[in-house]
Amino acid sequence: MKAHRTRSVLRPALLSLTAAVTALGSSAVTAGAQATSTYLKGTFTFYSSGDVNVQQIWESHLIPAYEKSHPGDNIKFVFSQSGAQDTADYDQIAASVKAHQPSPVDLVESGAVQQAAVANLLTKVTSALLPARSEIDPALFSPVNNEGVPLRGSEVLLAYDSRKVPTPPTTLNGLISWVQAHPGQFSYCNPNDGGSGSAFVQAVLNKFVPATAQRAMALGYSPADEKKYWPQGLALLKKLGSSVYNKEYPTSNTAVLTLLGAGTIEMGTVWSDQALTALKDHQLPPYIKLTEISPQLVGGPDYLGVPVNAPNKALAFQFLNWALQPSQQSTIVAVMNGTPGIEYKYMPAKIQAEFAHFGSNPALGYSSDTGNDMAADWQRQVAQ
Amino acid sequence: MELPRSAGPGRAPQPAPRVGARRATVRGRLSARVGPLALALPPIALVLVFTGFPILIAVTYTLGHLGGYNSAISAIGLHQYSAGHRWATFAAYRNVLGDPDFQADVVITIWVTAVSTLSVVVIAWVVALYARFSSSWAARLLSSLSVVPLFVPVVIASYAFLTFWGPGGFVKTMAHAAGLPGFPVLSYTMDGVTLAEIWVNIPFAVLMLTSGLRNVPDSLVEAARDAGAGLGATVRQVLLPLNMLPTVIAMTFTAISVIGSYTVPYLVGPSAPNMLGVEAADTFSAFNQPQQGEVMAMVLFGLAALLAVPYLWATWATNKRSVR
Amino acid sequence: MKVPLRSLARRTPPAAALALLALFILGPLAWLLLWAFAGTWTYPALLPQHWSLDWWGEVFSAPQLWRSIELSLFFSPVVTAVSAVVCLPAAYAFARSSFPLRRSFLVLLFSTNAFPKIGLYLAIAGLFYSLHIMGSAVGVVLIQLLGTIVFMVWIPAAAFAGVPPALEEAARDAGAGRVRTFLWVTLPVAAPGIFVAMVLAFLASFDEAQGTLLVGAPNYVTMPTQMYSLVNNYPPQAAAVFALLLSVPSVALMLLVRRHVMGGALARGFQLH
Repeated sequence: MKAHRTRSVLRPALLSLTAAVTALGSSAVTAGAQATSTYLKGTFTFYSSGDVNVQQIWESHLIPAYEKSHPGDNIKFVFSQSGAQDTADYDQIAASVKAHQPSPVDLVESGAVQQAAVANLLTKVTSALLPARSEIDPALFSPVNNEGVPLRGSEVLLAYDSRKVPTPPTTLNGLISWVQAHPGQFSYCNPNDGGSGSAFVQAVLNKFVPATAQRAMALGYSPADEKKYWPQGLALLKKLGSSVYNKEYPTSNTAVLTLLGAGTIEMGTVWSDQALTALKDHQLPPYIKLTEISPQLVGGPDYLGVPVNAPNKALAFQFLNWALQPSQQSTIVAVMNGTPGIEYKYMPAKIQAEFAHFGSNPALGYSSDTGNDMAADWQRQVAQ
Repeated sequence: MELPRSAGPGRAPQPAPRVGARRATVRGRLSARVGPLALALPPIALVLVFTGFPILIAVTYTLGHLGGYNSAISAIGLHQYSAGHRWATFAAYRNVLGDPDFQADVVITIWVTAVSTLSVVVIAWVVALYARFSSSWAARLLSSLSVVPLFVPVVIASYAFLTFWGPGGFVKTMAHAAGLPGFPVLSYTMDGVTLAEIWVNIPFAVLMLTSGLRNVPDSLVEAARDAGAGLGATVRQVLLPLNMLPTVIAMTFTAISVIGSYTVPYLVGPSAPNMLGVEAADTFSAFNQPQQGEVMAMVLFGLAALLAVPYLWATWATNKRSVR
Repeated sequence: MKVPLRSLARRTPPAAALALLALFILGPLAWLLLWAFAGTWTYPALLPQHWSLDWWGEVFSAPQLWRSIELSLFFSPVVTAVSAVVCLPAAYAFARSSFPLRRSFLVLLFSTNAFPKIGLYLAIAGLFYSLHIMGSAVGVVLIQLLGTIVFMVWIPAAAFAGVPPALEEAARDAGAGRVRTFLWVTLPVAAPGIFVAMVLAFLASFDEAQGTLLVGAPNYVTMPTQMYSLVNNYPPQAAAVFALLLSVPSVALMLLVRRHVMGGALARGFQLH
């Protein structure tokens, strides 16, 4: 019930980029507090899963800042590095709701959120519960049934070996021709195992999907559109299969980076933050460069949710609302190299300028049901 | 039943009568049956409640019952089949079994299981023979070595296997040094999965067969030798017939372990086609088709049950021949 | 018992084949060991270009690692002990008596264990909720216990069955009671088999990841859970270091029970039925 989105969140530490953060981080502490208003006090439980950079943004930045600006509030933070956590999260929430018992957790961040939202196990997000809701693109609430809160987004980029590829492709079509012209030099990971592969598959499929149908597939579930528009894209991916490295698909985001670092391949799709970290830690040699292609490879938003039977709902939403304030969002953008959850127009001018080339918020990824079908069809028709 | 060791004729059968039984009065006889049952019950009850019951629930789900205990899972599952008001529908089974990709997965699963099981048993026989007939340090070392994988967690084993046989691994490096740059890498291939399965399963078969061969008396082997039999003939005419049971046990449990494995094919195998354990888990969670995933689990369980038939038959036959 | 039969020994497989087998078995582990100490190591170098202990520091400084190691080292012995208390009497009953459905029960224990678990967890979570043991240490012990039952019944049952009844009878004739006979005669003779079963139970509990996560989170997250993500998401060095750490208890136990395992205690467990 989760995996392809699950591991999309698993990206290693962005250990620093601290220069950018220190400036923003300090302002976050002071500006972020709802200094004047009164606030609820208490303790709530927060499950998060992903990789070390997700852990760090919470443990080293946001949670300490929140607890400092809200004396009397405590967060019991439980982090798991495993994608297996998502299934466990879902099972725990679903079973507790069925057993008419309070949920063990008040706030969840994992691949389970979309599933739980579809199953109506999470609290509907209203403006009364979450005042900052009005600053989020309303379309982002549709894939999660109004039950999840998009806190941040992330980007998938093209990484290439600049020694061997002086001029990388700038468009998806350009990339496809390059792959066919250079057999064995490109790799994307199995979309079941990593979001960076998933983003590539989605981009290729969307080449043949009209914009309205793309929207339907992003906001909900539209099997008829899948049947109608996917076969061409799947056929193209199948054809590309004979040109990708080893005619196989690595089983994680990291594996693609490893192949790049070892000089085994010249190009691959990667998570921006994961690649930047690897470059910084010298896991990747400096001649590996990153570039964006158009249309953009969509990473998709990261959703948080509050179970319907959470014992400390109000506390969880108070925290979420705080995390959606521009100063906290700026910290997230700087530390994780991601995109904000709220619309750009609410972000500080400096960040607006930085992301100006996106025009609006990044495009939506497929909804979880559509993504599940994409994973299944890819497995059956491309990998076989 | 009471014969614990392999039923080599060289070993005297255990004395049959049991202490309790001999002294039993009529009342004692009843308690001799009920008392042990009470002792045996706790683990059985645990298993029935916490595994047996969930399995039954899963069976009803595959047969199209989406409500009740299954409502939490059916709330999110895609492409489900409901039995409606009928007692059951086999639509989910038809859907899965009729899928050519699933059939390809079944074929490859059976193939990997067959090849690795046969290899494991052959290797185990060789190691066991060597350990039985040589007292050299090399023989002792080898039989100790072949037990090592038993103690290595499977995740680690798979990972170690990948780094050893994969691109940039030892094997590829040696091939490169030997001037064979085109040497294949085994990561993400079914050949790799087969080899890794062999690695993981060697210890159990070695233990079964060393123990079995140890129970064959030297006198029998010497008699065969005196009659002019070579090693091959001795194995065929003396050792193999006396060790059918350990061999069947080694084969059965190796095959059951391979056919149901998840971690090895998940970490070492290709995207597709892959073994059923991986396919079932992917279908269940990555494709969000839990009903189809459960059907695959049932198929897997059915195959494992088929594999267990020769084992049950062989132990049954042996036990009949022994004490009772 | 191991009389060298020279003529046969000379005909055993050539040294080269045996060396290959040894390489096949030990090679991957040795290669992993090297990775744990590698700084940079690029193909086709046979050894790392630079050696480094950096990844050890990295792994050791991970905040949740120590807690998860502590938890694993707490739960595994507890589970092993509980499993022994629950299963050993049953094993004795299976070995020494006949009662209705005896054989079916033995097969049942094995077959439920062989069922693919992925689809069962939701129903199991429901059961645990109704018993109010979700998220508790009791719940974690129980879920890990389930995976140990087969070993803990099958292998000790064989060990008990291997104790000659005449021995027990002699003790009882000499005036020892049932309990004394069991403690002083039966148990010591069956000890190697029980010991092996306990080690296997320990390892099964130590390796259990998914069920523990389901029942134990948020309070109890054990070591193997972290291994999966390390393997997939970190450079080989970090995974190698963690793999080595995770193998320490296994290796220690292996050295402890090697003699008994090789002596056939495990093998006997599978022949009883």
